[in-house]
Amino acid sequence: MKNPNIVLLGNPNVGKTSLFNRLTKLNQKVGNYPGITVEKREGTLKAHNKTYHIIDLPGTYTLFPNSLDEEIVFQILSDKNNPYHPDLTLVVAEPATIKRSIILYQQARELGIPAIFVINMMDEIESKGMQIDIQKLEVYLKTKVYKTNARTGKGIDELVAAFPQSPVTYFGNFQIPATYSAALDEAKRIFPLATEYLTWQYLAQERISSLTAEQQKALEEIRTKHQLNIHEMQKLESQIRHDAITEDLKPIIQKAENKKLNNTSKIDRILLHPILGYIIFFGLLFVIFQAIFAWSGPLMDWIDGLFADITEKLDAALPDGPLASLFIYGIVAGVGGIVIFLPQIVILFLFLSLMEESGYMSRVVFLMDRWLKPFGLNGKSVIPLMSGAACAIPAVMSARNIENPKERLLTMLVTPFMTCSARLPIYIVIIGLVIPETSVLGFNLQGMVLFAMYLLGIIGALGSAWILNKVIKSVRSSYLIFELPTYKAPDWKNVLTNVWDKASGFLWDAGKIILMISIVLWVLGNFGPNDKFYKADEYVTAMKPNLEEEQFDKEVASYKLEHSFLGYLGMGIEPFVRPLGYDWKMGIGLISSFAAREVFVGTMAVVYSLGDEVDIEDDGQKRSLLDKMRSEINANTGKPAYNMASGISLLLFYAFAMQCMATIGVVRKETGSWKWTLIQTLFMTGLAYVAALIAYQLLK
Amino acid sequence: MGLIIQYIIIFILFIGALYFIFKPFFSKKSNSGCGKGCSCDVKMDPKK
Repeated sequence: MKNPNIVLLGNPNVGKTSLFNRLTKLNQKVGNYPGITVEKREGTLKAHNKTYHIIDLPGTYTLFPNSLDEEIVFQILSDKNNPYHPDLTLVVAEPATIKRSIILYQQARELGIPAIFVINMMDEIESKGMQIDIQKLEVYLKTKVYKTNARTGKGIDELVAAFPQSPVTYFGNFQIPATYSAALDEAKRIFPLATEYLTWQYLAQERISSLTAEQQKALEEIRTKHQLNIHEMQKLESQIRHDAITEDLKPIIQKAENKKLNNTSKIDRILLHPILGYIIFFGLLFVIFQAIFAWSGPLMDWIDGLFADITEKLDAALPDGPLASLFIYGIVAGVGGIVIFLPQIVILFLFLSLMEESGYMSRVVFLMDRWLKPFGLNGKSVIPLMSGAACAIPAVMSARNIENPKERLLTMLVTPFMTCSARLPIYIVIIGLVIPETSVLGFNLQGMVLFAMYLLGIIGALGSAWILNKVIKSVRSSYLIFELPTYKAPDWKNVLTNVWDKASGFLWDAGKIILMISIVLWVLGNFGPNDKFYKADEYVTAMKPNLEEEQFDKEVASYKLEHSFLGYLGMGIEPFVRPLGYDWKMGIGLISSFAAREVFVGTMAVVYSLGDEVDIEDDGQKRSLLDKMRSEINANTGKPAYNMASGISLLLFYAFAMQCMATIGVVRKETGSWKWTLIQTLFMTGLAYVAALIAYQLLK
Repeated sequence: MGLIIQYIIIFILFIGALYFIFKPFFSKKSNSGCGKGCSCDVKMDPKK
């Protein structure tokens, strides 16, 4: 016999997830609903000699879907064949917003769903100045009402004890207006087994993905025949329910002064102040930004060192051969390239979870929404955009907090434009090469150019969002609904669970893609089509017979890279990069740095026979790389390869191009779509190409 | 392990990695309804 499904249904911010965590403890997993990236939380609970399958549905205000998340809720509740269709629904409410939760409860019951009512955060009832007559409420809702405090666990045992019960039959409050009777009667003939309210829902929604094409068509014909306006129907139902419930609850719920709301208002006077609010918010962002950069630094260095040790030990332990080399320098190095981002991801999501849990995130939306709205972004987009200045990978993942799918997608598409830390080594090298070390108006010119590159990242992100906002449209019309919840102390269990979910999701889902690209790039860089690759030492000896051993090894590495598949690809793209002022050596750098931008510097060091371990922070090594690059002549033009024109062109290319496979992997995971990942890569690289082309052609 | 066998394994891994990266482009799975992640709710505006 199948495990009974128990689903948690409720508005956002009612403590539904805390209750879920309390019920399932560690027996839970977070994934996505099949084929989509709506987060699915499910777990198990053993009680009454059964294993209950607990599902935490996305937070929703109504059963009329306004987003993909809400559509999932309706599908699960309305479709009996859905694998998550509930045997029992726990409608979770909190005292301050209980009226909205009762409407949701009534809608669920009228669909024919067995449901019980749970008031969470009962400890706050006094501070919120409320009195609820539970007995009267039970009579009104035709079910027992359970009172819980998910943070302390109070009331959970009583709730679990109620799982085997079957709620009594429910007859709803919502009387469908007689003007819709004819249309409803016709629709009932298509769905003879559905409740009247479910049939009404079918008529009042634009599209129901669980219905067949014929059923959808038949519904559309009824709507056309009876001139039904779905928005009018939804509005009418909300109005009727709202009016009825306001009257019905008068003898059940009494409200006096809401002390908690008063405290919240006092804090909001500071945090939402037109000037102080922004200063505090940007101050907090500064701290987050510092934490991602500074706190993660030692951990990242430790992980880097750990993988260097592992590589060294494996190198000594495994027998020489191409397979061992692939394992050590392709697979282990690939895994290292994924794990190294973990500290940044953990730190960022720790802050984001704390902001979300405390209620501050809603204030961020309120503060920033008006500034970002003209670009098609959301107030919450500011978090991914700002953290993108450290690293696009955790930044793209943090866009998950944005509920509106279009705004979430736009944010993910433009966040990689922000100047991430991986661009810094390239900027330092190229600026050092082509921008004179002089002062302008008392400021260091190189520093000003570096600052301009950061500004360019912001302009690139906002400008692209503005353009993409014009060409991407939402399938369903959307409006922003959000509430300013009362401030509360974060529930650490929720915070840690959330951080763990994000970190493990990144390691596993994005990690797979990054690892595969690492293997491909390793093979391309370590095999060649002819003898020049496999007998590089003989060719180098013939060309330069008097080299010392160390220099000979570097020359061989350079020669091998030139004649690897990767090298030939670099030469292959030369006709395309020549108009940008690059030669084939830079072409190799461009292709290899597709793995990660910072690889460009290392690759150029190998191409120029300096070995692959140039430390850009070491002044001596940096100088030798710059000297070598300065003396390099572009075979196509006969001029220095790195002059002002090609240098600016290269800076612009790296400012805009999507040269980071880890970001591609994360975008693929978060959008659930290769289509948008490809569009983003082509858009960014296309823009980079055009900007670099214009700059080179104007400056050469 | 013989060199040839090592090359064969590397070749299989390489092809496997390429297949993993590119298989979604050749997938015949229907993308109708909500099968496209968070981008399910958006599409390119045909008028632009």
